[in-house]
Amino acid sequence: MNKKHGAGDLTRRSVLLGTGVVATTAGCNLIGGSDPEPTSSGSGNGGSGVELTLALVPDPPGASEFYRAQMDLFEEANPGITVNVIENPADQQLNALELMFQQGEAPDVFRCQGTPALTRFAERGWTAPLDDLVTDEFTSRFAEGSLAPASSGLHYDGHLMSVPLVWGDWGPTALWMYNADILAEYGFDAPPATWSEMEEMARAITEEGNGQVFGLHPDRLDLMMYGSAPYGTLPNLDLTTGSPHLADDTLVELVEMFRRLQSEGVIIPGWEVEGASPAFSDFAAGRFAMYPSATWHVAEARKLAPDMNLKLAPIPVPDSGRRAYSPRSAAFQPIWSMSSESAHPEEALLLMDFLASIDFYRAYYEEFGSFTASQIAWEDQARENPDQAGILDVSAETLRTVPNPQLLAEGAEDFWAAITGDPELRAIDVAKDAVINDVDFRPLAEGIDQRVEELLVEAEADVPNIRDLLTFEDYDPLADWTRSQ
Amino acid sequence: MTIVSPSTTVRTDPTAPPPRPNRGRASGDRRRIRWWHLFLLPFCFLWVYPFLWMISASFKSRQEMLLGGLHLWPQDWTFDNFQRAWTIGRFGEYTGNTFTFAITALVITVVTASLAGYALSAKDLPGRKIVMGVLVAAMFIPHGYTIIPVFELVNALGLQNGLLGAALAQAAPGLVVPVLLYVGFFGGVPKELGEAARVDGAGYLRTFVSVMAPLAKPVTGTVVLMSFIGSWNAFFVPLVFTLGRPDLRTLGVGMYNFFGTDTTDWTGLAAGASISVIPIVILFLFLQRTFVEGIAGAVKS
Repeated sequence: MNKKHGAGDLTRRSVLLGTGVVATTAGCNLIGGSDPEPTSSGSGNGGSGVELTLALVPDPPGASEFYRAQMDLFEEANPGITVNVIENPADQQLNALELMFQQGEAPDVFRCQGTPALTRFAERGWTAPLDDLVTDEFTSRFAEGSLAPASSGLHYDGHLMSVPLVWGDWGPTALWMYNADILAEYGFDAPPATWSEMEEMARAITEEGNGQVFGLHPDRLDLMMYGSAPYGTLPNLDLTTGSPHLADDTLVELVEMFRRLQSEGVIIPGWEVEGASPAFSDFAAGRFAMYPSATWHVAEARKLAPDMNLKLAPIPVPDSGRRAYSPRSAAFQPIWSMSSESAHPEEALLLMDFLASIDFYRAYYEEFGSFTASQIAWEDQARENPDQAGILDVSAETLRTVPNPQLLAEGAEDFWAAITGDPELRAIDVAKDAVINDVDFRPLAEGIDQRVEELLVEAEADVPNIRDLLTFEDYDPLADWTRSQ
Repeated sequence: MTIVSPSTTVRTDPTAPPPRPNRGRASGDRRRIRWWHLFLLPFCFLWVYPFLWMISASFKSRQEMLLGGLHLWPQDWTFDNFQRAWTIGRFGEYTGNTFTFAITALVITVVTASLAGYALSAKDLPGRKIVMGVLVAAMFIPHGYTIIPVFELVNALGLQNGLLGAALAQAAPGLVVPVLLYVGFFGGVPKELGEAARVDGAGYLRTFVSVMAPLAKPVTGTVVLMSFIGSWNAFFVPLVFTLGRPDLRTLGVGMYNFFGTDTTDWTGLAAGASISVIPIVILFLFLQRTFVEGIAGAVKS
């Protein structure tokens, strides 16, 4: 009997055949092995030398090729060393690193971004001190005094534990990004300097825009909160008094203004959905006129709209006058760390040195446009680029050094780390909640303040003088803070 | 005695070829488009629009995708996104791994679930209710809670940094639904079939292999499809179990190369997704009938 198979019929033979072919072609990958195959696509050394593993995240997207090219340069300069690059998704990098350490297969050098992450890894003894790197030549690559242990942001327990990637002011700089053509079209020849001007302009543009153009997008409302109260965002403590202060009158006024603008339809709709449409793309499309923005939005908007009349200004301040500046709490954000379990510490240190070299910083800046940790590498070029010069100007005008209890308040670090890492205490989340859901901000802020006060009382059991430790009487929110000796 | 179902025709000419079975195809009058089909078409379009948009975005520039609105037809066609998907997403390296990983997980799932389902379908099996209860309870445990013990277990077996260990970790938590599907199916198979096989001299395993497993094709089709799609799209398990061997990663992990900490390469991601969805679509086209039958309870007699 001849049995005809339709297209949808699967026979055991065909399934087994297909499985066999695929399994055979890649069968060697089925059973695990502890020796990673070199992923280098660049120059190898025949496997006779030292192999280093660098665990990073592909940031920004497309950085894989850049890092591979840079590692090839490193290998050329250091014959006998091969660098295997392991890329982990950004959100999973820390989890992946922890598992690698637990597996006994820690990378030699890894990206460990931010103070909480560095503290987490350093506390477990997974990061190696980099003090041998610190020579006069190394120090000269960075701004004067920026590698001081008390303020660098790269030190743990007095030892250098990380090297930076981006310029220290890249993150905390708060910009007011606006489309000068839209402002001009609706009769405004300058950006708003105060909150009332901002509200007036936003209303006028939205009203005349007839649903096509809006006045405002509150993308980084948290950046506006910086200038509203002394160190006015996380962790909701006024460092001049050591007391909780999220319910500060000026902060409440700011959030209530945005709540009003939101409920009256002045703000562009859709911003409430996180990640739905990035603010810079709506801005580049000319759908709204102005917004508080992070530094990296500038290049993104410019890529999408090369001819746009994009301008930068300081963020508008309260009508009663500026109360604080954007806070520079550390000279740098930690990025690269070296494993204490590296089998090749000398070679790993060479790689760390390379990642902190002016050549690498220059290459990263030229590739991605981000200001890197060594200003020598990019400052002259940045001044020739109007957008980048604008970022530098706003940064110089609106950024000031603030005390950082994480680095300075000996005995209060744990408390500070706990409240800064507590998602329930995030001021911006509470503020957005009030704006989006049209609820009074003050009671919400008072609730947060009450919770922080409870935590302070709890902490006093272990550290009786914790309030004193968190009070910096010599801190003037309108000036650069320097530690009084 | 011939039992004539309403859908069969009585053969008057014994030399005529037998009628082709009606495989659920609509008869001529049923194939006529009714007016409400036109009413449903826009809804169908809305349903498939995100998929079409993904395909369309993979041929657009980043600028056009972000600023160009909702239109599907690219103004300036580009294949750069596919080139980036191949290099940045490492599709060239990861496709073979993904097939190996998905098929291994699939084989583990089908073999284990069908055998378990056959055994558990016996009503007189001691402890059957307890095992079934544990299986159902296991459905409600999030994967995140089990990843550490599973990781330790695979490490202890010496299968870390290999696709077999990853496939085991992927297949094990996904076994519950397939087992229940097989239990439901085998529970409905007439006992006489098994008894007839035993009369012919078949043992327990032979009865399963020669009689029961072929009967269970609809369920197997369903399980194959579910398992393959789940494994093909898996992200967390292949990431965790290939930490020391990035060369063994799969497309699900490769896709994340398009995500930076602040920005995302959406057009590259769309191109990558378009490429990686092709095998799934092909598999579904092959197995859609058995999938539907399996889900619907299958034909058992």
